[in-house]
Amino acid sequence: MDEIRENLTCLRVAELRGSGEALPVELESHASSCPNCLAVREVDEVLGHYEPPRMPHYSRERLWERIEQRGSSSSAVWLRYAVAAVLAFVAWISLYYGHPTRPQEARTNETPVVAQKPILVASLCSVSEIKGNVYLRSLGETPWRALHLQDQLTGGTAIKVASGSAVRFSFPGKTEIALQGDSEGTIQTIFSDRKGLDSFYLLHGKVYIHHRDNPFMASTPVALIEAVGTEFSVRHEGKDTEVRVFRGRVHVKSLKQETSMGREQHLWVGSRADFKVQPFSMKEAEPWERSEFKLAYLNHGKMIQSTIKLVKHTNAVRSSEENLPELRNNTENKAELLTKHQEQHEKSVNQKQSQKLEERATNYHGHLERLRDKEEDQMKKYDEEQRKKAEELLKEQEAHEKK
Amino acid sequence: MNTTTREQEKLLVDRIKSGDRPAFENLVEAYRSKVLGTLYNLLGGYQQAEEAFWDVWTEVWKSIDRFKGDSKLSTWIYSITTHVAYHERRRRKGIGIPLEEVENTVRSAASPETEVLHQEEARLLEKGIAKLPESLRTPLVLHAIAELDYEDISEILELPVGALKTRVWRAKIELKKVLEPWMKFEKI
Repeated sequence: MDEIRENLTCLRVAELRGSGEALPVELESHASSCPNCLAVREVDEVLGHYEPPRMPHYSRERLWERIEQRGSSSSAVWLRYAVAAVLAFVAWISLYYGHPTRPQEARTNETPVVAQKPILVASLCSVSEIKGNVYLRSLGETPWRALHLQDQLTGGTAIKVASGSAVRFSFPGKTEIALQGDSEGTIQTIFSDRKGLDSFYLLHGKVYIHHRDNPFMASTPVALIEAVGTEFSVRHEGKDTEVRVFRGRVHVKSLKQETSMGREQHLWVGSRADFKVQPFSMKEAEPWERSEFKLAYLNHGKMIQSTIKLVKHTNAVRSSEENLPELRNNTENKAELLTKHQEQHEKSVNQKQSQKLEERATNYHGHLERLRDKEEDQMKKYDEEQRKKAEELLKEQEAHEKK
Repeated sequence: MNTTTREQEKLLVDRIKSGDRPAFENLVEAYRSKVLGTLYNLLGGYQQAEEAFWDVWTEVWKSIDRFKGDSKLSTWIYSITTHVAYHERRRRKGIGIPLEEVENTVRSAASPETEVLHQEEARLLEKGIAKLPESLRTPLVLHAIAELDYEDISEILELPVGALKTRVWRAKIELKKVLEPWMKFEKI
């Protein structure tokens, strides 16, 4: 019966419309008369004895043979990608560093940490949201052009966000990046231990990263930040980088040192920084770190000013201290409501019970009165009979005496 | 899934993670016919399905370390199956589905007579499934061939259960149109 119910979308819709749960009889009658449901049942029957084709030459040896073949061919593909990417990277470097609009920060004497690793072309990010003016420059392209939602961001694509604008995009591993205004960075894939690692290189500005399952790495000219299932923000201004962790852990590397840091900790990396992990309160998080972006940009000549939320935060990001008063209030309100409900319920239950008792008492009294009436009637009848019998006896006695 | 099955599954996964080949072979054995059937119906050709089949198990072997047990093992395997089929379809876009291959596939049947009848029925069914749009075909195949729960399919395809049920229902209505002549013939 459940199976019928499962398949009867038409009936399910009717149920949803408020006609209530259908009875088995109703289901059966519907299933035997509705042409669509009959069709579904017939198809189910055919599907029931359908047998997919078999693999006649399957064997365990063949399984391993094919897996090994594929493993080696995939490494060959990897090698091809690697060679292509290295060439592309060389081309990109020459174009990027030769370009006159390159920001001043990139001209520092400091060797970028990420430059020590090969940066290859493989990732394919999708743009989820664009607010304001955001530009991209694909690998090999010289001028910046406006970024559109349908643009595919491959490794090596540089993104520049104008002041008062913002952009959100996600990597195939679902890691989400929210880049704030006045920021610039590049999407990259870093190869480490023969595995591609999605990465974002922040040249300058502020970025909020919501990391998911796949390995992910953020980098700036002075730091490499490895994510281990986390939410964190990176800000690179001048020659220094600040990393703040809101959830999970990250591993941070500079040219000379490296360290791990966890929730509610922050670290400055750079020439003037001491590379010391220090605590910070969630309350200190700036609006953009809560993913609230203040926007101010021109749209068809009209100034747009608003605040938006780009990345959905997990509850863990909000500090527990911050949540406590709200939670307490909610609980108190709920408790009050429950007490009220209970009182009302008790009142209504008492009223109903007393009404019932009154009704029962009234009924009882009525019954009692009826019984009394009946008893009186019976008594009267009895008296009458006795009287008649006495009279008869008297008459008989008188007659006897006369005789 | 009950706790014992989950635990057994975890043990199996741990063994595979540690490089236990026989454990992996057992896993393939358990799922091989359904995975092949799913691929065959998603791709519509035996040769592509066989190639994709090896891809699926190579991927499972390579990325078993990434399986954390958040979902069922079967859900994870079919998720890989669906992805492999999707990429294979994208790769072969425009080539079309070679339905002629369907006739040369191997199936088991009780008698030569029932074999012929079942072959014909299966051929029509596969033809019908191949004609379905991808949005209806994948949920139907996962539900009817891979025999997954709606909840598991919902996890794989990232679709709400209600929408999935409607899609499977619509797919069956569409299939009926293809199977109509066969059903009439069978009744005679």
